[in-house]
Amino acid sequence: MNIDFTVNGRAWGVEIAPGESLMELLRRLGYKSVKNGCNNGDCGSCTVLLNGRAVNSCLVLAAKADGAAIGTIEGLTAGGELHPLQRTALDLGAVQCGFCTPGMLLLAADLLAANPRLDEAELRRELSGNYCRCTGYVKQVEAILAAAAEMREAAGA
Amino acid sequence: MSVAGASTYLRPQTLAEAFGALGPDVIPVAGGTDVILHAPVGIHTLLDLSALPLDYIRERNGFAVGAMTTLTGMLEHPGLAAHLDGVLAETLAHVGTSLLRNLATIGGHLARGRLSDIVPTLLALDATVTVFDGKPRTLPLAKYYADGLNRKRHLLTEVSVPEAGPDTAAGFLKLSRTFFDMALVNCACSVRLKGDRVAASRIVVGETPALGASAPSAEEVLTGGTLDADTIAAAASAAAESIEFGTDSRASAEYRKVLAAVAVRRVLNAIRNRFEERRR
Amino acid sequence: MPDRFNVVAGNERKVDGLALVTGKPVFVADLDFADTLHIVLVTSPHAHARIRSIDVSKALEVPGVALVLTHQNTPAIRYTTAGQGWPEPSPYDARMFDTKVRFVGDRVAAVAADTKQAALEAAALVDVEYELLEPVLSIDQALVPGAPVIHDEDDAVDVWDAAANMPAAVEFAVGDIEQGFAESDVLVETTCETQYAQHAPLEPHVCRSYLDNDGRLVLFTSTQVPFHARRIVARVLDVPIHRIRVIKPRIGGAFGVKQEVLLEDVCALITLRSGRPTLWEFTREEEFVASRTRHPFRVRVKLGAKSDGRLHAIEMEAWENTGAYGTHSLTVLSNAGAKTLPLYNKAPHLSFAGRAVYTNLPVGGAYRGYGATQGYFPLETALDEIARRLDLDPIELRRINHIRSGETSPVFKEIGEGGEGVDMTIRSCALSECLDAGMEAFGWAEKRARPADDGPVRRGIGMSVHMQGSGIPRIDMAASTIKMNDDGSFNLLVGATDLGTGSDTVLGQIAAEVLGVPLRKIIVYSSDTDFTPFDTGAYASSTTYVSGTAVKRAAEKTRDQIAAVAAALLEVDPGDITLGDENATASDGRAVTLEKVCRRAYYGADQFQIGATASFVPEESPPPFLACFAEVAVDVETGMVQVLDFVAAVDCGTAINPRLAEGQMEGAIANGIGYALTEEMVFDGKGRTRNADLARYKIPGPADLPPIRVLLVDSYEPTGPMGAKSVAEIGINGPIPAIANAIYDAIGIRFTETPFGPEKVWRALRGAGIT
Repeated sequence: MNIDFTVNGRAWGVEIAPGESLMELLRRLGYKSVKNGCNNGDCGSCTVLLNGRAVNSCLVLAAKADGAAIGTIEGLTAGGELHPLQRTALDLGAVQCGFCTPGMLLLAADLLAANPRLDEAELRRELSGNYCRCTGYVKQVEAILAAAAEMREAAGA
Repeated sequence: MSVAGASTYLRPQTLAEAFGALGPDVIPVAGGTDVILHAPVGIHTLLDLSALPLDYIRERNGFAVGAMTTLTGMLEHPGLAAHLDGVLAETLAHVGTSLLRNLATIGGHLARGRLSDIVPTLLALDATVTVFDGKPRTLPLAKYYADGLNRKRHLLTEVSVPEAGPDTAAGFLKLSRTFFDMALVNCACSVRLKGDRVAASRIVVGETPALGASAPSAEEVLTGGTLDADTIAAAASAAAESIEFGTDSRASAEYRKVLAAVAVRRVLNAIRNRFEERRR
Repeated sequence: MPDRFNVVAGNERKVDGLALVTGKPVFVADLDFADTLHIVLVTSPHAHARIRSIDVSKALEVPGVALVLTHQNTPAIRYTTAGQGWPEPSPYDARMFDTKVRFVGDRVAAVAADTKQAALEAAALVDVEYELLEPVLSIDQALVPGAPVIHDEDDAVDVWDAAANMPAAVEFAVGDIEQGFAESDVLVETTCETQYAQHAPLEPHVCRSYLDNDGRLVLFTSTQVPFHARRIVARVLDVPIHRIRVIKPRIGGAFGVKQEVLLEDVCALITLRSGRPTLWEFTREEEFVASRTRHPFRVRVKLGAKSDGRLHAIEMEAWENTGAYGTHSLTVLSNAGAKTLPLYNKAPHLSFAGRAVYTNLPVGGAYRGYGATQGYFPLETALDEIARRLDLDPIELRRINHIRSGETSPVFKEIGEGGEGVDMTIRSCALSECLDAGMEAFGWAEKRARPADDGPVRRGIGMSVHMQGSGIPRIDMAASTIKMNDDGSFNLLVGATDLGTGSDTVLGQIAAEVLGVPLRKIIVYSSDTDFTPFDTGAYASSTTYVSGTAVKRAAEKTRDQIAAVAAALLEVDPGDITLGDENATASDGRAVTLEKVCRRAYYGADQFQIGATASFVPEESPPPFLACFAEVAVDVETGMVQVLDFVAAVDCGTAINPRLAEGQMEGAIANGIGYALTEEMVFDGKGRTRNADLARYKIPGPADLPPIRVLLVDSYEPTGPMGAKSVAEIGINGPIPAIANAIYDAIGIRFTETPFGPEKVWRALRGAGIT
C-alpha cells in the first residue's frame, strides 16, 4: 500500500508493507538516526516525533503514518544551528556512545514543548522509557534541565 | 516489530463497517502498540479504527471517554485528570512513559485485558463500557471481563466514569521493582462517606497477576464504620485473605499477598488523609 | 606535578560529539551496501545435546537464500572467541559450528539471504535432529562426581580439567593462612554469590563484511578488539592477515561484551563464499542469551584481624560459573583475587584459590570489573563486619589497612593475566583523600549520628573501598602515529578503540597538549587495521594509560621534529624551541607558526613528512582507587530498597577530561546499582533464559537512581601520561558492597546473594522477625 507523509518537512510518497513498522520504514528511507535497540518498545532508541509527539517508532505501524508529520533528530537543527538540547548535551558531557541520544533529545523536546517548567523529578520519570547504559543519566538530566532554562530565558518567560 | 503476515490494511469509516469486517484472520488496531508486537500468526488483515469518531472526552454526569482516546489525551484533559483527587492522573502517570501513552488508546488497553494498572482504578470508580456487537450496549467494566467479552467479536467504543460528589475520595498505588515496570501488585480504592461513616467502598487489587480482583469482604469490613487505622488494617488483611494470588517470574503468590495488604492499607490511609484535608 | 595544562584536564567536547547529537549515520548498521546478504542465526533450543543430523535442503529452497553454514561446511578448528593478546590465556574450546550444543542459544547454523524476512523463514526450516544429553545447570551440579562432561571433545586446548568440567584454576599463597587465623583476635567468614547479569549495551552486536575493490575482506564491526578480531578470523578461516581489514566505526556501548569475536567469523566466511556484503544484527534476545554475560561467582572470604583492626590473614576461595565455554574464564577468575587482595597489602598471610566451572548456560565473558566486582562483595562486607565486631568506624578500619604510595603487595607478582604477574610499587594512591572527600560530601558523620528511623522506612549508610588496574603490564601494547599537515594541524592515528567512552577525545587531548595546539587541530582516526597502528584494544582499563602514553611519545617525537625545523627557520638550537599556542617559540621570544613549519617541511627545504610512530608496553599497572558511600532506604513492609544517595570519590590520577571521567564513573555506578538491586538473568529447569528482554531484565532507570555524585580527587601518577591512570572499570565495583553494608546498617541483615530484590529482602526481614 502507498502512504504519504513528511519527515522534517520533506514530503515522501512510499510503498509499504501493511505490517511494517515506522522504525523499519524510516531506516530504510535513510533516517539512520532512528535506532533499533530492542524492537520491542522497551528502550526508546527508536523515538521519533509523530505529529509533534514523541513515540516509539518500533511500536507504530507505518500505515498509521499516512498523512502524518514525522520529526527526527535531523529536524532539530534549525538553519544549521544546534538546538539548545543538542548544545547542552555536547557541552555538559551527556553524550557518551550517542546511541540513545537522538531518541532522548526528541523526547526531551516534546516534554519541554508541553511543559517548559519541567522539574527534575518529573523529568526523571518521563525519561524512564529511554534507556541509557553509558551515563547513569546524571548528565542527561543536567543537560536537559540546562537547555530548558535556556529556552525559557530565550522565550522571555 | 512488525506484523509479517499482514497483506491487507483497512480503515473503515463507520462502526457498522468496522464490526462487519471483523473475522478470524482480522485484527482490530487501535493504537497498534500491542498488535505490532503480539499479533497472532495467521493474521492477514489489519483493521485500523482511527477513522471512527471515537476520540473524544465528554463531561456529562461524569466523563465519557471515546475508545480511541490516547492515554495522553486522558491525562491532558483537566477535568478527567483532576477527577477524584487526580486518581486517574496518578494511575496514568504510572503506565509506561509519555512515549507509550502518546500511542496507546484506552479502548485498545481495555480490550487487551491483561497487564493493567488502569483497570483496577476504573473498577474502583465503577466505570462502565459501551460495546458494539451489532448494536451498542453499556455494561459495568467488571461484567465486560467476567463475561469474557473482551475475547469475543466486538468493538469497545466508550468507557464512562460516573460523577462523584464531595463525599467520595479515591486513591491508587502501584508497587513495582523499578518505576518503569509492570506492577508486582497495584491497588485502587474508592470510599463514599455518609457523615463520618463509610457508606460504600470499592477495594480492587490488580496484577495478582490477574487483571483486577475486587475484595467485597474487605469492603464489608469498612461499611458502616469510621475510616480509622484499625478498620483500615482489618480491611487490608481481609482483602489479602480473600483474593487469590499467583506466582510468576516477577513475584511469588505469597509475596504478592503481603504486598496486597500493604497496598490496600496505604491507599485507604491516603483516602482517609484526603477526607481529613477536605474537612479543614 | 605541572602547574597547568592547556588542553589536558579540560572539559573538551567529544570529537565525535557533533556527529552523535545530530544523528549522523556513524554506526555499523547505518551504512547500506547494495546486494547485502542478511544473516540470521539458528540457535540451540537445548542446553546440552549432540547434533545427530542437520538438513538444510528446505532452507536452501526459500527464494533469496544464498548460503547456510553448519558444522558440515565450516572449519573444524578450535579457538577461543576471547579478544585477548596472543597466545590467548583462554582455552581453545570453541568451534565455528560444533557437532555438539552446550547451552540454549549456542550456534547451530547461520542463514544468509537477500532479505531478513527470507533468512528468518529459512532459519525456521533448518531441520536438526538432536540427541539430548543431561544438562548441568549450576556449579554444584557440574562438580558432582560423574556429572556430564560438557567439553568432551578431544581437540580442545588448555582446558585445565575437562573431565571435571573445570577449564581453569588459580592458586597462590603467602605465609601460612591457618597460622594467620590462629594468631588473629577476630575471625569473620562469609560466602557471597553473584548472579548472571548482562551488559545490555543499547546497540546489540552487529557486523558487516564485504570485499573491497581489490578483493580484500573488510569487516566493519562493533568491536572492542579490531586487531584480535583480524588475527582470530584469519586463523579460523585460514585467510592471510594481510587480506583482511577490520574497521570499527562508532559503537553503541560495549562494557566488555564486545571484547569477543562473535559475529565476524560468520560474516567473513559468507562474504568469502558468496562474494557479497553481509549484515548481521543480533536481536535483543540474542544479545542477552547468545552473546556474553557477567560470570556468576560464589566467593568465600575469611578474614582474621588483630584487635587494633590490622588485617592479619585473608583467605579467598572463588568458584566461577563460566557457562558453556571458557572464554575469559582464567583471567576473570584470577582478577577476583588479583585486583582485590593487594588493597590490603599488610596482611602477612594470604591465600587465594579459584576454580572456573563449565555449565550448560550462557557464556560468561569480559564485563567491566572483570572478576574484581565479584570479589569485592565478600571482601568489603566481611571488613564491615570486622569493623562492627571491633567497634571501629568502617572508614577507620580501611585507613588502618589500605595500601599506600611507596608500598607493594606480593599479589602483584603472584597473579597476572593468566599466569604470573608483575611486581609493582604503588606510586600514586590518594585513597585517604578519597575517604576524606567522600565522607565529607556524603555527610557520613551527620548521617551516622542520626537516630534510627522507627517507621516502615529505615535508612542506613555503608561504604566500601576499591582498586582496579590500568592495563596489563608487559602484555598490552599500544601504538600511535602522528602526521603533520601544512596548516599546522595533525592526524592522530591510534589503534585504540573508542566504545563511546571518549578515548578518541582523551587521546587527542594528550597529543594536543604536547604539540601546543587546541584539540580541534588534532584529527583523530582510530581502530582501522589498515591505517592505525596496533593496539590490543579497549579492555583492562588500558586506553588512557597505555594508548595515552604511546600517543604522548609519538607527539614528543613529532614535537622534536617540529623543533628542528623551527630551529632551522629561526636559526637557533632545537633545544631552544618550545611549542604552544600553535607556535614554535625560541627562548628570545621569536616564533614561527606551526603552519609555516610544515610548509617548509612539505615544500621548502630539506623536505620530509613531519610525524612519528611510537609504541608503549607498560611495566606496571598503577591502580586507580575508589571510596564509595551509599545511603539506602529499606521499606520493611515491602522489602523494597531505594538508593537515596551515592557518593564516589575516585583517584584516577590526572583526569585528562574530567567530564568524561565523571561520565565513566556515573555510568559504572548506575550499572553497579542495577547489579546490586534488580538485574538478574533467570533460567528455567531446562536452561532457557526466561527474561531475555529489557522489560523483564530490570535495569534501574533515571527515576530509580539517585543523582550519583562523583568526586575526582587530586592525584598524579608519575608513570602515566600527564599523570593519568584509568577510570573505566572501577566504579562498578562499589555499589554491591556499599549497598549491602548500608542495608545492614538499616535493618541489621547481611545479604550475601545479589541482587537484593524486594522479595528476597522481604523474606529475610520476615525470617528475622522484623516484618
